[in-house]
Amino acid sequence: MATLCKNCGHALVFDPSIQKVRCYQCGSTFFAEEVESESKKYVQDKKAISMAQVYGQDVAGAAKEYLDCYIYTCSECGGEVMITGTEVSTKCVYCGNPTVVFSRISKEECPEFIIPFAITREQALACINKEIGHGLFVPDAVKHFTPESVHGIYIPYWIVDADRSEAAIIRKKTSNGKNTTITYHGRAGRMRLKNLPVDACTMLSDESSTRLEPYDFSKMVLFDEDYLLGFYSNSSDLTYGFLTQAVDKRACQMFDETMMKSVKGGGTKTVINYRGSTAIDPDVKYALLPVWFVTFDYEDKHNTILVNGQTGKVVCGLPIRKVLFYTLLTITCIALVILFSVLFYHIIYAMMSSYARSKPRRSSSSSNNSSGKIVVGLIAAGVVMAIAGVKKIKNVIAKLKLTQSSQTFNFTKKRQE
Amino acid sequence: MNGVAIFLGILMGGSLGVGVAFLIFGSLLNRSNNHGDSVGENSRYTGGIAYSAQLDKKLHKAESQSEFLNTYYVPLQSDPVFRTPSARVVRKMPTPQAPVAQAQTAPQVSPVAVATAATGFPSSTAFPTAPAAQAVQATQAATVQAAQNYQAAQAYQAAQTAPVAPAAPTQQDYENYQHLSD
Repeated sequence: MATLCKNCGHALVFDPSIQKVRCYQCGSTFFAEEVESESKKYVQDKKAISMAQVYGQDVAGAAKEYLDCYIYTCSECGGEVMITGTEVSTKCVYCGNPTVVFSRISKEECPEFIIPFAITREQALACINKEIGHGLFVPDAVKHFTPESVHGIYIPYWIVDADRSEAAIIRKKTSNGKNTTITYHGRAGRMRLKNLPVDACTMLSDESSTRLEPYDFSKMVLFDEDYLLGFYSNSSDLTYGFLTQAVDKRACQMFDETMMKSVKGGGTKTVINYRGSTAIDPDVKYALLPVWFVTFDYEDKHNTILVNGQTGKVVCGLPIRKVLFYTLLTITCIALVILFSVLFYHIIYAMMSSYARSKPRRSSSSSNNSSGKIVVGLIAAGVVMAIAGVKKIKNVIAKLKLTQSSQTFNFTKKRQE
Repeated sequence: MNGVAIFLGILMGGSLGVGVAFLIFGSLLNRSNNHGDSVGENSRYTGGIAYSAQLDKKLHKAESQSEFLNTYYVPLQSDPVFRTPSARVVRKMPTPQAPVAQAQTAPQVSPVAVATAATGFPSSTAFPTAPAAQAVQATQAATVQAAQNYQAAQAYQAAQTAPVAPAAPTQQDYENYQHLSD
């Protein structure tokens, strides 16, 4: 159902630029807390009915991709609004009015807090254009893409306080030329975590939602359904078991990172054994956080760019101009190999000549050793740099796959426009 | 000599050239095509770790490593944070489930205090070896004893507060009844 303007009766929509609900018919603006829908009390118990109940098993079975859909009646025009199992707000496909399914945010499941959208649709698109406009290896078609859809969606999050306690053994491996030293370090302690956001929507991958951070929780306000007007939103479908798993995994990761920094010196550090546990505080907060989902097609693949609806942070891996990239890489490789080879040839030749001249006069086994170490060190440095470079390339490809994942695309696409 | 110089030059120049090229282009590609690849920094959510033990020596053997874990993990677990009631259920979750596995219901004697008292070791940076094992045993025994006492107390309390139901007649009652009726 829509919340209507007190002055003209037109549907109100939340405007992020002024942080108020606005009537686009008469121009009136109201604070979200001021507006109370008259018809809310009549429709808050009205639940969405499963599609199978409305159309029968045959129809629902025939359209497998809509099996998780429910039918809700628009309180303004009576049209059928199709929603997924956890959607809270959407738009009516017939009259375009914002629709909130009140039964899904009724007292027992009502979010406590919300961070309202601070970035408008236009600002979100501007952020994307600014971010990807200068990419050397981004295809021109992607730089000037036309968005297929732009959806502002409130994602449910659990904001958790927790304690992580752990005792661990860290192995530090340091290489110094030929010698490798391994040392073991014990660490035990406790870490307090405050306001850790955990994505409560299983349809959205944790990797995507984690990259949207950070959110500024000081801007979080008490939940009011009028903030949802004009936006899509989902309710939590995360069970307590999954929540504890997610918090434990994240806390463990954070603990290990911090703990390894306490082991002084360089080298490769690995946690080889640990005992740990995470206790979650009982007062977990349930909040809705804003995200813009912008989809576009490129070379027959769906791409979804995410924008943090509060800060404007853009999250995406973009398609690569492969021909340009690999050509430039090959040319640079060849050029650098020739350059370094010539350089090292001259250095080595000069060193060997001076060694040959000075050989009759002094024994230089230590000089030989140090030269050998330099050669091995330089080769090792080259290999390490090559591995680091390949890792970066692999990381970009992994993030591109995430942007092109059907899971994220379906999450945003299965909504009524 | 010339041949050796050429070979070494190509070997070093090749590895370094390929390495530098891959590093440069990997970084360029990452900057160009990967955006927002950062999660929330740890410092946003935590003030760091309060260490109860930091040991940088004497941990080469597997036994000493496991001893370290056992010695210092158990006292951490006995902290009041991990002793919240078993009825802990996060409100409004779709499917309330069992509480965190580490949650304890039983009141506990502080194993840190027990360990310190038994061994003389402080529960901080020093790494106790043999006496610590005894301390851990003492700790565990104290914890088990406390848990048993707590369970007994709970059972007693439940018995006191439960509504009194008529007890089923025993054999002795039946015999008494027979005797009286005779």
